[in-house]
Formats: sequence, structure tokens, C-alpha cells
Amino acid sequence: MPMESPASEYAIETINLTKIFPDWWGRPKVKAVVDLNLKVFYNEIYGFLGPNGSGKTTTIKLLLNLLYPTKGKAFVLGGQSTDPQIAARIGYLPEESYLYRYLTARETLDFYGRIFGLPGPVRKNRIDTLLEMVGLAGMGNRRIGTFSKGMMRRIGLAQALINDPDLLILDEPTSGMDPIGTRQIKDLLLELARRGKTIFLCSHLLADVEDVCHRIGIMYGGRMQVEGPVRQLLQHRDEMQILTGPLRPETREKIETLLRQEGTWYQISTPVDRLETFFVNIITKAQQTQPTSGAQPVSGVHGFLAAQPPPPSQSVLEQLVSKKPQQIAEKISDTTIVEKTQPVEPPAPKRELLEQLTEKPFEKAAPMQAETVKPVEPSPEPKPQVRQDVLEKLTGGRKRPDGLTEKTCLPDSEERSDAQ
Amino acid sequence: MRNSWAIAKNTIAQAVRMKIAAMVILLLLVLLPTMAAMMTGDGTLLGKLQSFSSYSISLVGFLLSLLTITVSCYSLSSDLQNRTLDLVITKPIARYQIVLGKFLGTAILSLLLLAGFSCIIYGLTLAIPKWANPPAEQMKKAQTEFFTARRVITPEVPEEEINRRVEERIEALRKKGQLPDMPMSEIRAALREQETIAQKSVEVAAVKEWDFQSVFPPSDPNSVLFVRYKFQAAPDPPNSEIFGQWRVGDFRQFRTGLRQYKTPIYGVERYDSVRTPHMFEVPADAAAEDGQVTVGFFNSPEANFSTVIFDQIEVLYQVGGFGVNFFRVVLLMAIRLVFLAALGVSLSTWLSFPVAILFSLVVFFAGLINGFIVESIEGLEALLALFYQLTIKWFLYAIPRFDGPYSPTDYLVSGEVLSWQFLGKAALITLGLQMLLLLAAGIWIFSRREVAKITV
Repeated sequence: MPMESPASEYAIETINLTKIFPDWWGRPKVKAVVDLNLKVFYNEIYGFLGPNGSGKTTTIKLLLNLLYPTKGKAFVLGGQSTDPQIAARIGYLPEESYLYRYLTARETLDFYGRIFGLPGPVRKNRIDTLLEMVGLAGMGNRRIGTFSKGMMRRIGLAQALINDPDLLILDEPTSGMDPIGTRQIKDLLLELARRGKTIFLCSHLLADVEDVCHRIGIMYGGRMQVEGPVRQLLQHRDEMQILTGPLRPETREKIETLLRQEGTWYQISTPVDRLETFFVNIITKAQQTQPTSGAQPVSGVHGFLAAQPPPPSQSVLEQLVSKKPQQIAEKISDTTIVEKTQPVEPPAPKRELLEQLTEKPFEKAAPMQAETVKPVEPSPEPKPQVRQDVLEKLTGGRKRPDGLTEKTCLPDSEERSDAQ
Repeated sequence: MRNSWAIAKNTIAQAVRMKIAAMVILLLLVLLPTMAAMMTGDGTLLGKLQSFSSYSISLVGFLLSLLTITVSCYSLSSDLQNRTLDLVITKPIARYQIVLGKFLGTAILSLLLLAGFSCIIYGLTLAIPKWANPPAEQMKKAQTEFFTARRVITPEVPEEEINRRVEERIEALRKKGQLPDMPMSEIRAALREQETIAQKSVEVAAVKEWDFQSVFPPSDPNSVLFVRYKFQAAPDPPNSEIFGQWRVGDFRQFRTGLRQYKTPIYGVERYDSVRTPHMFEVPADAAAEDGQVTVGFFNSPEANFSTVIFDQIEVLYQVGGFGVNFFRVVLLMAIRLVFLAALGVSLSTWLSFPVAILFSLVVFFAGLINGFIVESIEGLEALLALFYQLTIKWFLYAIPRFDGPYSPTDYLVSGEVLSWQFLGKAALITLGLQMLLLLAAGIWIFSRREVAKITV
């Protein structure tokens, strides 16, 4: 659904939002949210952080009118979420997947699709696409009650996407998911943001938030403690990092000399993988040698993420994740003197599943993204990359460049959070 | 509406997969054929048919009522409890659509089951005569008394006559100065009771006539009028039997001294045991064109020496077929189920499952004995009466009745017609008024409450 001209400047806006739970006598007992002034721009991924009990979920429930505010107002997409027209543009994944255990995965999606009033053929199409996308393609006829927690999260996410929402409100989307699933969800979120969606991500898994969010806000005791772009908040302004391929000892000597002349401190070490990257690599390798039983949803999701050559699973990735699978830069402590690689021509855009899902011509997607990204500096659109790169990266061939096409020297590693 | 329909479908899926519906279905599928095979009643075909239809309809009605109550109370409250509703509510669906969807789902499920089991009962009922292969005379009796729909006409109670006699007796006692030292209301009630009994009594050698109005049997030459009655006798006669000489016809003809009768007057003479219902039939042309027919009973002094007191006397005649009547009886049960579905859903918009189901059961069982309670509480002492007026009476009038004329079984057992008018009236009051009010209240509450639980 293309984004209509927003009725308000913000996708989510709260004004002095306050929720106080009274005790039995009506005396204020718990101040869950106090004078919250939240502003989430259109087309950004906003990370809403905070320890348990800090009011994150309460805020979401206030936004969705599941709870009524004691004081203040909450606007979603410029209106109230009780308005069916607004509600039709929201996708919500609750903290736990509150799904009907007696329905099968397919029936679940069908049920929510019906509530959104999707016509039969569209519904069926989207259900197939989404099941494949969240890696439950073979499990459409299994009862939700028999699903593991991670699988429930997946079907919960599929349900949140059934209406192709403009605004996604996700409460702990990756809780209970295995690392590969987590990774895929994060990739998906980035891709959805690129397609013009606004994502309100509530989590206390900091790694997730750091990887995908443009801006974050940290809640404690029902109050917003700090808010701002991730890069700004985390940047070490007085340090630099240089990452290179293998160097001859003489070259290294020269560089060290140069640095000594500069009079700054330095440190030379070999980069270390994040555990997540390592784990994903191992599993990917294993999956290539031994086929999965199918009981684990991993294979499905993996199928579309790992970009094996064209067949079905790959084309799903292709379509859902648009031209190029978004890569979360997996290096925390390395990157950045990057050799220029020859960008490969993007695969011809396929007008298939994603198009059906978003119901708009493919061509419109790209310009719209560029316009709507407000909070993040629009960096030059990188050339889309071949699937082969992703495959190699995931399978352990440490091919350094990740699609960055020019020589960059960034002061920190936050580049990865918005590699676009 | 499409939204509500999605919720309704989901509700049905829930009930079906909860297996509670399966339990009820299984139980009935086993019990109904067993009952059809095992039940004998009084040994005749009619008795067998009557006991089977009575028990099977009661059983299906009762079990489906319980099922409806359980599903309707459980569906919404479990969604609230498991918080599955949190997610549904964020979708573009209004709260009232959710309540309506739950109600629709429960009602449709109950009605489908009712339709299925009614078909089974109907089929078994029709099959019983074939299996039993009874003598022709029993077959005929079953045809005229069971596979039929008869209108029942009761004589008008001569209220004015009774009141006049009561006042006369009070006046007589006052003149004699024999009025007992009691409040007038109690004296009047006691005398009234005596006069009412006197009105039903036929002394030895006396004749009693009952006038029935609006008796319009079909003009088919084979059609008959039934006279159904039950009496007791004081003192008890030997063999507990009374010899009765009956006349049925338009008595105005000889009252006005007509020599030539336009309609025949039939005579019946028979011995009948006391305290059991009996019935005889006369050709239907006994009724006058304007629908009046009179039944006369002569307490013959040659055979009897007891006063006969009639507890019941009715004239019946066929007005329709068994099939249509059976259908209307099923509709009467449907009204009950639909009301119960609305009750459970409305209650569970603000009550938890245990409380909602308890309250629903109270309403259901109170409805089953509503008329009995109302009758038995009428004569209370002042203070209690006030309490009753303010609480229970209000409650009993607010809830629908499921007993007396609202009970489906009696119509089938006695082959009485359940009229469309009565059915319409029941639907209007139970569904059009009581159920709509309930649903409106449920929707009003549900639209205002916070759905999410407080979690901090």
C-alpha cells in the first residue's frame, strides 16, 4: 500500500501520555507510563528500549487502544487506532504470540486476512507468500498449538504482515527465535523499511536494535531517558578504525610509522567474528550437507535468505527482499578500508510475490524510499549485488566487501546499521 | 458483517476442536437410537412413540442448552483470558462486531446441531411404527393421537358466576351473623376455592354442561372431535370406576326447543377409571357452524353414588400434520438456544468464565421452573412478599420461560398443535426483547472496557 500523504508529521505521536494503574480503592498504584512524548517519523525503524517493566508494552497497548490512557493522547498514523481505516494500515506483533492454538497456521492467517476484508484470491496468495517467507511453508496445516515458541513468533510476524501494513508495531519480535531466524527477521525489517514502512520495534535485545534501528529511545520507570539516532548515540568521536585485507609486513611497518608520526595511539589486531556470524556460518554449512527434516522451520527461512540459485525459495527472497538482500554488517569491530569491487548488475526485478503483497508497481518503490527516509542521512544507493556474494559470505568465504562500492573511511562501525 | 462472520467461523472452529461439541454429538448419536429401540412406554405403539419423543426431545434440548451455555460463556472469556483478543482488537474490527461474531458463531453451531438431531429424532419417530409392526387398531390410535397436530379448546371458567356465588354466600353468612373472625380477604379466598371446586363437580343425578367456543374442525367427513378429560370421585367408587353418559353437540338446538336438529348430537356411554386421563371421539360435525359445541355429562344415579369432580376437560380436533408441528416444536427449541447463546456471550463480556457459566445456568434452570416458582411464591407474607416483589419476581419476569407452554415436549406427546401465533409471540418476547436487551448491554460494556490486562 503506498503511503498516503500523512495526516500528521509523525507515524506515531504521543502527547503527555500517562498510564497509571489504580489499586482496588482507586488509588494510583503503578505509574506505568509518565508524560511520554514519543515521536516516530514515517519510514524509520524506531527502537523502543528498556528493561522489564519500564512501560514499553504498556505504551504499545495505549497506542493500540487496548488500554485507555489516564492522561494525554496517542496518535497512530495521524489518528486513533480504533478507526478501522487506521487499523487497516497497522501490523502488530504482540509480546507473546497470542494466536488461537486450535487453528492451523494457514487458518490463522486466513482468519486475520478475513478481518482485514481481503478478498479470497488475494488472501490465499498472501498466505502462501507469507508462510514461505517466515519459513513455515510446509507447516501450513499444522495446529499453532503444536508449534515451538520460535515458530509461533514466525507465524505471529506473518500475521502482522498480512495486510501489508504501513506501520509495524513489533513487541520483542525475535524473542524465542534461533539466531538464524533472528538474523532473517532483522534483514526483513530492514527491507521493509526500505520499502517505505515504519517500524516501531520494542525490545530489550540490544543487539537486534543496534543492528536495524535508525533511532532509539530508552525507557525506564515509565519515562523516556534518552532518545536519538543510534549512530550518534554510540559514536566514539575521538577514535578511528581501519580494516584491511592481508598486508605484507613492510606495508604494515610503513603504516605504523605513519601513525607514530601522527602522534595518536593505535592498536593492531585480527578481527574477530561475532558469535552470531559464526553460528550462522556453521549452520549454513551443515544445512548444505545434510538436508533438514522439515520439522525445523529454519530451512525454509534459510532457503530464502541464503540465496541459493534461483529456484522457488530463492525467488521468494528475491521478491520479498527486493533487489538485494539487505545485509546486516556482521562485523562489530572491523570494516572499512574497502576495496572497490565491481558491482554486478542487479537481477531483473521480478514482479511477483512482493508485488502482489504490496500491490503497487515495482518501479515506484525505489523513489519513494528515497523521499521518505527522514531521520537517516540518505546515503548513495548502492548497486544491488548478486546473490552469490551473500551465499559466500554466509557460507564462510570471507569475502570482505559487502556491497559498499566506494572507498570509505568511517570513524566507527555504526555504518552497518544503515548500510544503505 | 464480514468481520463478524470471520469471528463466528473462528468460534465454531474453537467449539468443534475443543471437543465439547464432539462429546455431546457422540453421546446423542449413541443415546437416540438406543432410546428408540429400548423404550416401550405402556406397551402400545402410542405409548412407545410418546415416551420416545418426550425423552429424546428433552434430552437433545437439555444437552444442547448446556453446550450452548458452555460455548458461549467460554468463547469470549477464553479469548480475553488467553489474550488472543488483544491481537484481534487491533485489527479493523469494531468491538460490537466481535460480540456479534461470537454470538453468531455459538448460535449457528447450536442451530446446526439442533437441525441435525431433530432430523434424526424425526426419522426415528417415523420409523418406530414400521419396526414395531403393531396391530391395526394401535396403528390407527397412533395416527389419530400422535401423528397429528390438534388444537386444544378449554371451556371458559365462569369467573362471574363464581364471584357472584361467593358474594351471595358472604351476604348470607353476614345476615346470619356467622361470619368467622378472619380477615375478609381470607374468607373470600376460602369461599372462592369452594365455589371453584363446586363449579367442577357433578353431583349424583346431576347434569353438567361445558360450552366450547371456536371449534372449527376441517370439513372432511372423516374428521373427529376428541373429548379429553380427567376426574376424581368422592367417595371413591368401587373398582375406582365411574359410569358416564355423555352428549356432544350443539345443545342450543334443544335448549331453544327446535324439533329438527341441523347438526347431530352424539351420545357416548362408558366406564372410566378415576384420576387418569381419558379420551373419546365423536364425528366432527357435532360442532355448530359458528364453532360452538357443548359437552354434557350425566352422573347417572343408577350406576354411580359418588360426586364426580372434573380436573380437566378439553375438546381437541385436528388442524395440521405431524411434520409441520414437529418443525414448529424444533423452532421453539431454537428460540431457547439462540437466547442462551446471547446470554452467555453478553455475560462473558464482563464476567470471567466460571461466573458467567454459573449465572447462565441459574437463568436456564430458573427458566425451566419459572412458572412453578411464580405460582408457589404468590401467597407470601407481607415482608417476604415485598422482598419477592423487589427481587425474585423482577428476575423471573426478566428471564424467559422454558416450562409450561414453552416446553417443547408436551406438544408432541399429546399431539397438540403449537400455533404459529404462539411461536411468533415467544420469538418476539424472548429474542426480540429479552435477547436484544442482553446483547445491547453486553456490547455497551464490551465497547467501553479495557481489553488488555494490566501488566507492569
